[in-house]
Amino acid sequence: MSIASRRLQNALRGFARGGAQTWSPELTSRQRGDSDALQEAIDALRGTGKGRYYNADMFAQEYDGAVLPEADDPVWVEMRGGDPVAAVSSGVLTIADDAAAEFLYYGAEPELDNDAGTWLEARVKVADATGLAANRGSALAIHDGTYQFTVWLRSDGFNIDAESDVSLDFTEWRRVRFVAQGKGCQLFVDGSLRQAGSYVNESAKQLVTFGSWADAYQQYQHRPGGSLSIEGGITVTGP
Amino acid sequence: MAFIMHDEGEEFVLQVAFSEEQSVPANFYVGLCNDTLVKADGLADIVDEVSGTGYARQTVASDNTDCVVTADGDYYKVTFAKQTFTAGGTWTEANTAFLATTVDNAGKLIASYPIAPVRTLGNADTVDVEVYVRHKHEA
Repeated sequence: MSIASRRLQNALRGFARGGAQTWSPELTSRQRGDSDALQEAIDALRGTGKGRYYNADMFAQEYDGAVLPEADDPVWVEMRGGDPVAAVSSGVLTIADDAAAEFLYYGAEPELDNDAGTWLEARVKVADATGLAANRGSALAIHDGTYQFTVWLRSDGFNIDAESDVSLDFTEWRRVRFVAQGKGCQLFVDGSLRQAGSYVNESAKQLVTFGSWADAYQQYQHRPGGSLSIEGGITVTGP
Repeated sequence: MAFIMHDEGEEFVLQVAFSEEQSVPANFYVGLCNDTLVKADGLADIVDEVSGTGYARQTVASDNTDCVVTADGDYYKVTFAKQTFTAGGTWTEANTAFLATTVDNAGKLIASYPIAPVRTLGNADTVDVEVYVRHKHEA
């Protein structure tokens, strides 16, 4: 087991002892590793520090907040402990787990390739969080079949696992782009490169996750951009 | 499936409201189809529109009678007049309703709405369809 892995496990144990935590994310997507477009995007990110090639069609799986993730198509597998509460309303997924031993997060198992890289994107607002320190908070994680990468999000900051805390007000909506390739990863917030880091552990899984590990209240909302979203509805009456 | 505001629908609304590259049509149209649409799809991508005796896209006048804009809490929405489809024979299956700018496929696909459960109308069956589009602003 690597040092980074032990650190993650220590952090998870810390959550189980924590108190109430609140946060709210938005769009969660991930990009498969076999696309030339992805390679171009990651190359551009590394070269410029900005994601110039955002293209929703490149994402292999998205969550749009229309239904609970476990009811989405393709499905996001629910992983929970205790009795956390999840609900969707107006395109927003809200997760509340306010007991010490609870957690609730969602995972998808797309085809990932460490050489090509993986791109995980979420729009996140963290209203409150327990344990405001590095390597704590709610998490986005990538397992690309070779390594695991994790970023921690808190109401007052964030960090790539094992990196130092970066102060940032996450009580406002933030667009988080987590890109991993090889042994390295980069975190962009609202289009700016904010931190670079390394893998947590070796991992044969091909998995991306979002959600809380313990003591969290969170929301996910699909909103491609701006502060105006469009919704629609239908009433059908008949045989 | 979920509600989709299609790309060309978004573009159309903005071009009508701001750039005047498009004009408001005399009518909008509500239709039924059995397609799995994605956001980038346009009217021409509807390849399995319902067919059968008596089927036609229903007309919604572009006025404040058939297109009613109201405040809905923190939102504003436009609700389109309820449309009744009446089958004159057995129709093909419908899993989606859609809102378009033309009665043919020359116009724009504004939005589509899942129908659940899917409907297969038989002779003399009717189905009422009422759709809306709502803007939601978050500070």
